[in-house]
Amino acid sequence: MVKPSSLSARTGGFGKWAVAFLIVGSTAYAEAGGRLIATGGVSQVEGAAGGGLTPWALIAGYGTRDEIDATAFYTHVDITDFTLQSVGAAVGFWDRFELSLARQRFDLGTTVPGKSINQDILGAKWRIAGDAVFDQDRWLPQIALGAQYKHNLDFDLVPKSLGAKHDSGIDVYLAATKLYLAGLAGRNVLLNGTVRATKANQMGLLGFGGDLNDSYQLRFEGSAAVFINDRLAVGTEYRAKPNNLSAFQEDSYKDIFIAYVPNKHVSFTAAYASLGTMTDKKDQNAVYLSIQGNF
Amino acid sequence: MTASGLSRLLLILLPLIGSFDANAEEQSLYARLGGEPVVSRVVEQTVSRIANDPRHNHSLAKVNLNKLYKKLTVHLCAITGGGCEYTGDDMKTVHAGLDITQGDNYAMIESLRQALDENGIGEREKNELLKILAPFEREVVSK
Amino acid sequence: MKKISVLFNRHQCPPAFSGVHRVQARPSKRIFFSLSISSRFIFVNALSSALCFAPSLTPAANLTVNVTGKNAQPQADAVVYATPATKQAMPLKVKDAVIDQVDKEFMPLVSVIQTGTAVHFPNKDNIRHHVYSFSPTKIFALKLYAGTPSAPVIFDKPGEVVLGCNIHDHMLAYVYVVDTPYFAKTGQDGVARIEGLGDGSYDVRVWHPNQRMAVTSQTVKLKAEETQNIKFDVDIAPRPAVKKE
Repeated sequence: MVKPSSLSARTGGFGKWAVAFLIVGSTAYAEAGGRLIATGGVSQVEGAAGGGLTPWALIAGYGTRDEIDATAFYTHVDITDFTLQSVGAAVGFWDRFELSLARQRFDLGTTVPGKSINQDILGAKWRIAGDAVFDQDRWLPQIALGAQYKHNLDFDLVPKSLGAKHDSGIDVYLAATKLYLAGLAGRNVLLNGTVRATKANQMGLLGFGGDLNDSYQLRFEGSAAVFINDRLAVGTEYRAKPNNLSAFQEDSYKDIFIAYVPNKHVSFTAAYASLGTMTDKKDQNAVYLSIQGNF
Repeated sequence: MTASGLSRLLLILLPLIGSFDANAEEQSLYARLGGEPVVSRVVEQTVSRIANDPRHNHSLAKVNLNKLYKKLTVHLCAITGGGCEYTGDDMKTVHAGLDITQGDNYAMIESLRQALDENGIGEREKNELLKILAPFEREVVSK
Repeated sequence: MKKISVLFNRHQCPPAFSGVHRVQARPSKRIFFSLSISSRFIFVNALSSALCFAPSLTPAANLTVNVTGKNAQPQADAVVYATPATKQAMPLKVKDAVIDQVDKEFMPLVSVIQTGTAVHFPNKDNIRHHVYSFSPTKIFALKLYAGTPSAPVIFDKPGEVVLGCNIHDHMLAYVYVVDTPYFAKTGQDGVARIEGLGDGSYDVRVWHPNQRMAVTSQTVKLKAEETQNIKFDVDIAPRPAVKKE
């Protein structure tokens, strides 16, 4: 049982408030949007609707094409030698467009004691084709084009000294998501593939571009999930990353996760992730916990 | 097993999507749902719940519900391999002019899921039925 | 020339409440066939319009019927029809009638038509209806789709026909089919007017869907240029007639 004071210390305060806000806010509104439960995905660490690590083509929230719906999330990732927190919100417009905002805070642990790197991420997503739920008789997945503008607020602290070139950058991605009803042993299966053009080092936490490379590269991200029932999904994710800095190696992220959606107002995700090398620390593994509220 | 090892294992299973059910079709979906008594009960519970929901019941105004249940049961029987002959109109004609929104359609699907759960239908049959019904969204939703 | 004189004698403009109507005029064959198709069309329509608005060349008699129902109040939707006492050929004057579907109701509730009339069901609603009748006078079923015209139904036997809709259970309409072109329906004022009757004796009858028993007929003797007034009282049942299913 974590004592409130140390939770405060570890989360810098905003974790506590974020969780409280989510619980109060999400239950204050009686009407959730009209879409089917769990079809908005969860919030990925950069704020977009998707899995935990990677954005999907689904639009945040439960809004149908006649509705606007909002979600908010708090994610805490307990890494071997670091802590990553992310808090943010997303708005889904008419099941067609999504805007998201997230603030990441990466505690540097023993690498730079007492210091953390913060980053703001503004995201936009546009569903250009397909419907993951209704197109059961077509091969076409739901396809979305997205972008994430990232601004590292502590560029001079660590990223600059590692050789990173820019304190901000824009990632552009194309995601394709498909829900296969009764796809595997009668269970529903979700598959996602995302291709991202990026210069970001560790998602931007270590700046953008580097001495090894300062141009856009394409990286692949994939997710696969099986719905045990309508409310419980287990899955795995993979996210490849560029290696722009000679100072430290960067590896792909992988995780296995379980997501529980008890109702249309709140969802919980837990994951065990393998994050590879982060700054000077190798073999970083993490326990990822996230709560999302729907308004 | 590490996270990456487990995720590699799960990714290997991807190509098997869809192939698991090939040998399990000894009985039609209709039979596995429980045949006429269960399907007609599910239909009545599904539609009557919507008929009593002022947010979504506009398309059912003044419609003879008992006749609707019968027709709908026959239609479901026909599309789930039950061998019934559906002689009614196609879904587009049936729903023409009723101004059904995406929200109305989702509400009916939720109501159906609830009725299936209440009648003890298994996950597999539930998902198979939804898979068959999902594409009708294009014909049902007109607003 | 005989045909034209019959036309002038018998021509009657349709009563105000019925819908689509067409009056056929048939001038002598020789003149008719020498004209082109379009000018024949214009000729026929001009002729029928002219006849419709021209005064009757043979003076006719008129009949005004007052129908009362519950508490001696004026009764609307009562069918009134007059059959000549001497048996004679009764050609079909008004060949078409309309029963529309508006806001999930039949309009009008009560129609009176002559045997052989074609009834059109246009369907103003943008949803489908499924009209049917189990009445022995006319058994039929007709699927009506939004925006798609359907074939009219010809009512070829006299009698009472009750219509329903298979989808919308509450929809109800009555068609009363009579063997005479001399008919009318009472309005809210309880009055029905039949015009253009020739000299002679007529058997006048009244029918209402909610009548408890058959209404006793009355005989009237009509003379040219005369308007006679008669009254009927109908015993109306307290509840609307239940349609048979």
